Amino acid sequence: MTAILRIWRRLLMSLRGNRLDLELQEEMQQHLEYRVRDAVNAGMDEDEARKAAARRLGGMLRARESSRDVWGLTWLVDLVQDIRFGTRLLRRNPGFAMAAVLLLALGIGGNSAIFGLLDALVYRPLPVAAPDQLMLLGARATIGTGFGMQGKERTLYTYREYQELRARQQSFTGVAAASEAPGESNVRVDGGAGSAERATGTFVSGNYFDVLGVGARIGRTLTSADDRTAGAHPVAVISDDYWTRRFSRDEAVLGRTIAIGRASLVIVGVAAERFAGDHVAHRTDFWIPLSMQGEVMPHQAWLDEPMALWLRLVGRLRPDESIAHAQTGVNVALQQILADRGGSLPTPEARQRLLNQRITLTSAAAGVSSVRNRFAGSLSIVMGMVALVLLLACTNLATMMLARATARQKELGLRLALGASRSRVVRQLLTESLVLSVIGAAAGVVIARIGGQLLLRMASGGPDPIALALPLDQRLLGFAAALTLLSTLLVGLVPALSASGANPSVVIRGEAGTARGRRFRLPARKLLVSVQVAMTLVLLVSAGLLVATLRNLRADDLGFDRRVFLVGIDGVNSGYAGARLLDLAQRLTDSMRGIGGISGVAVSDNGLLSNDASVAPVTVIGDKSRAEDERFAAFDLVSDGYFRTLGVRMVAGREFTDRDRHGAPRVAVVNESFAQYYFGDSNAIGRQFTVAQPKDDEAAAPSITIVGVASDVSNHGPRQAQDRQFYLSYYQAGDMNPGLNFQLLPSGSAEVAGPTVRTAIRQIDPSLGIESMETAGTALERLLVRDRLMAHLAQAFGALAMLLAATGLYGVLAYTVARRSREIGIRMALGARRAEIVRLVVWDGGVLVVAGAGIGIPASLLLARGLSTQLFGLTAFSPTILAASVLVLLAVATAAATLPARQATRVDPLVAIRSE
Amino acid sequence: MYICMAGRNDDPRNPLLPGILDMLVLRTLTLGSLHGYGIARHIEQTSGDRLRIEEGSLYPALQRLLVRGWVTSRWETSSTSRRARYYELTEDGHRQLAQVVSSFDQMVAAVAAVMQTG
Repeated sequence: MTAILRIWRRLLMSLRGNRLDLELQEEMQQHLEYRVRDAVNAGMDEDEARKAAARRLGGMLRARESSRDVWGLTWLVDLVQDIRFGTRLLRRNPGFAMAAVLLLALGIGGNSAIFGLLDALVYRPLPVAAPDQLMLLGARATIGTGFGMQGKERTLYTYREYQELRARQQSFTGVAAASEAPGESNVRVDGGAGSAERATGTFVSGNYFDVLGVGARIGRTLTSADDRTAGAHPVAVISDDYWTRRFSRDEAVLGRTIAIGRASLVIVGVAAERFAGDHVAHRTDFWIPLSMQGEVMPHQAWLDEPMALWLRLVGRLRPDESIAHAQTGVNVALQQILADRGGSLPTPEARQRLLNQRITLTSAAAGVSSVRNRFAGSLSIVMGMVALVLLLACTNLATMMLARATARQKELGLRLALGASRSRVVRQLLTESLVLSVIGAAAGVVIARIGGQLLLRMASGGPDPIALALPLDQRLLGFAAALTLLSTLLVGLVPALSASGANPSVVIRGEAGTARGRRFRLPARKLLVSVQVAMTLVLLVSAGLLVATLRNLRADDLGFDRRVFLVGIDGVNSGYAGARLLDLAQRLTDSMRGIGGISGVAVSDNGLLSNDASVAPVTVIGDKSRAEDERFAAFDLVSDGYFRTLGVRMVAGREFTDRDRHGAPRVAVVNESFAQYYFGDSNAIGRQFTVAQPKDDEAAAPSITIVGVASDVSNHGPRQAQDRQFYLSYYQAGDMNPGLNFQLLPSGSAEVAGPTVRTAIRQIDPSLGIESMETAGTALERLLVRDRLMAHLAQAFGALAMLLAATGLYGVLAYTVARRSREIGIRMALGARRAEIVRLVVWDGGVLVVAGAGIGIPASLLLARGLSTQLFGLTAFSPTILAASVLVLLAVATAAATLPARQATRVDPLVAIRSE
Repeated sequence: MYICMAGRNDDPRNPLLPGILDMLVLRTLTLGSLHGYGIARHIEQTSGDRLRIEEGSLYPALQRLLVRGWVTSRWETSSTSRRARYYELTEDGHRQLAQVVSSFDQMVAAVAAVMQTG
């Protein structure tokens, strides 16, 4: 209790700060008076008594300070005083203050923006209970759906496998399943009337919310009971965001329905406020029980389909369980499941291949995210770049403060002479920097908010908008605060130490600005400018590399005509299958071919530049030597004239024709990589291979004859490596239910008009859903979003860096000219020409730039290697870009030196020589 | 014997003195409220001028006692219309004095015991 009282008294006293001091002063003055009086009474002469008392003055001062220190919060009083002083100083120098705040705001704000993005996308754990206990059953997050078999590392599972794994494992308190399906779909809220809306749904197991530890805000979440019987639980839980967006937070939302596919789902709950699913940066509007898959996606029954790999699994570890132990347990369970299934496979090789599969557990504390997979690396690089910008801003400020330190030498010297300790002065100067930094940080946080949202919008701009919440939470604010402190130290420490190190007597005598004071400050500024030049060079080189990469990506020959217009249609969910689906494809092809301005139409299973891909194991007849993993090749189902429509060159043989239909011999076209891999330089035409169809076993697989070799096509964009690929005739698809992806080639230079295509499709069947419609060029640009963003950001940072470095250089040169005006005057008086004076200034600047380049060139080479994952078509070591960057730097430096050089030539020799 | 109690509180030469000074001040104030100079004069006089109290140690000591709440202070205007600050013992201070005296006696006895051996 006494301790609390003591602290309370201390606080009260410190608030009275000044008054305490004044009172002490008065008290001790009185003490002195009494002393004098007593001395006089004792017989001393009054004058003598007063002199004796005056000699005690120093002791009194110290006594006052000690008395104040007893209260212990002097640092607080000092801080308040310093802050007041600092703000007053800034108000008197508004130009400097604004420039400083702007610089700091950009630096701190930029860094905070990127940090906010990185944190939200990569580091932040899900808003669930004990996220560290969540484990993904898979080595990495595979977002999507697969058919057939996975390779060694399992990441996706069938429904049967999920049930069995869940039943057989003992290391988890619960295992939940989630899917990407049905994804963004047409839904109708509140029944059949009204037009279809788009909303994104996700199938999840009944225990999903339970395992994750997420409750409901209104109503209930899904439970295990919702999984019991297929098709019998037409319920849905909506997300808080969807509830806000679509239902305006209506409390009476329970009981309303969402119609999707064949099902009419009743909304039974709204999920907890901050929960948006375990798929980060992906908008999920509502969750549907797995049991409803068949109803929501008619014609695609995945619950019983042994080949449908549509589920990713997340488990919550038991508290006392180790990851290693759990992993072993899960793999044992998997082996048991596979062994049971393996019995049905015909060959021992197939059985062995099955048993080679395994599950690796990885942390799911931060959920899964396709956006993260795409952007995490780039964001880290951007973080590095923006940190450099902050350093540049701080060094610029530091040079400014060093310059001001010279101006304030008299004031500070006086304070030191009057007894202020050096640490006190340093503290005061640092507090001034702190005030600047805090104001800058406040503005920076605003910039961070805006910047973060802006970046998100720029990175989206495709059919899959990035839904990422960027709250202003304590992590972001904590980061900004840390940066503020760091920049305070960076900006203020060196000037403070240098300014407070002034010899008081020298300063008061007015000799400040001569030898001693400057001996440290100017070289310090020069060093800072050189460092700035180095950092600018690094940023310029990075920008150059990234811009070149973007250009290379855009110019890369993908092997097909970029004018091709791509249309993706959903046929399966409108009820087409088997022969009807193929017939629909034919009718659509004919309809689209009738559009004016179209010179070719082809249909394929996988869309060009889409995320869809198919792979199949290939056995070339007469060649059993290949190892098991290498037997897989990519394949696609394409219609007649596909290669001609895409502008793909046929290296040998022929394309598919209308004779390659059901019942005719099975034929294939392979790409050059395939032919090279299996047949080397010999002719591939006429050779045969089999494909183990997912449903058939290998022994009975029909042999396929190669009739053509096409040149390689980069199906998935410039960054994808050239794959072995073979093509089968679309109309020999049997019952594989291929996708309906159309490629339209415009004739001449005209573009394909979207609306006319839409009309052509509607004419065949108005109920068909059009999933996508864009030119290949647009699709490519969408793939390059990340690279575009990186290039733009790097250019912006490079420009900013140049501006900052130029300002720093200008400042130092202007100062040097002013300082050397006497010398210049003398030179001119002795007959030096203007050119020589200019050369003097340029030489000064040149030394700095060369020194900076000396540091910067090796630094760029080193740091550019960190960019190598982003580059395309060039390596991090690019002499051209390096040379170009240096040239740009020189140009900017020259521009920065012009004004000081001109001022130097304008020096009036007579005035200069006379001034002291 | 002349003991000069000058110097700062944390003067390493005289680590025990601040506590003793506090005790002396408290004892002085049991006689009534006094201002700072008065306390110093009283101690000096009663000790027969053997103890000299400097401002540098007196005023920090008074502040310490204020922090701990063992004394309170008030400003009074004297007849000559000049202000002086008078200190007064609190109840807590009275209690503390007995404790401090007892500790001091124990310390003296301990020192004496050590000095007497050997």
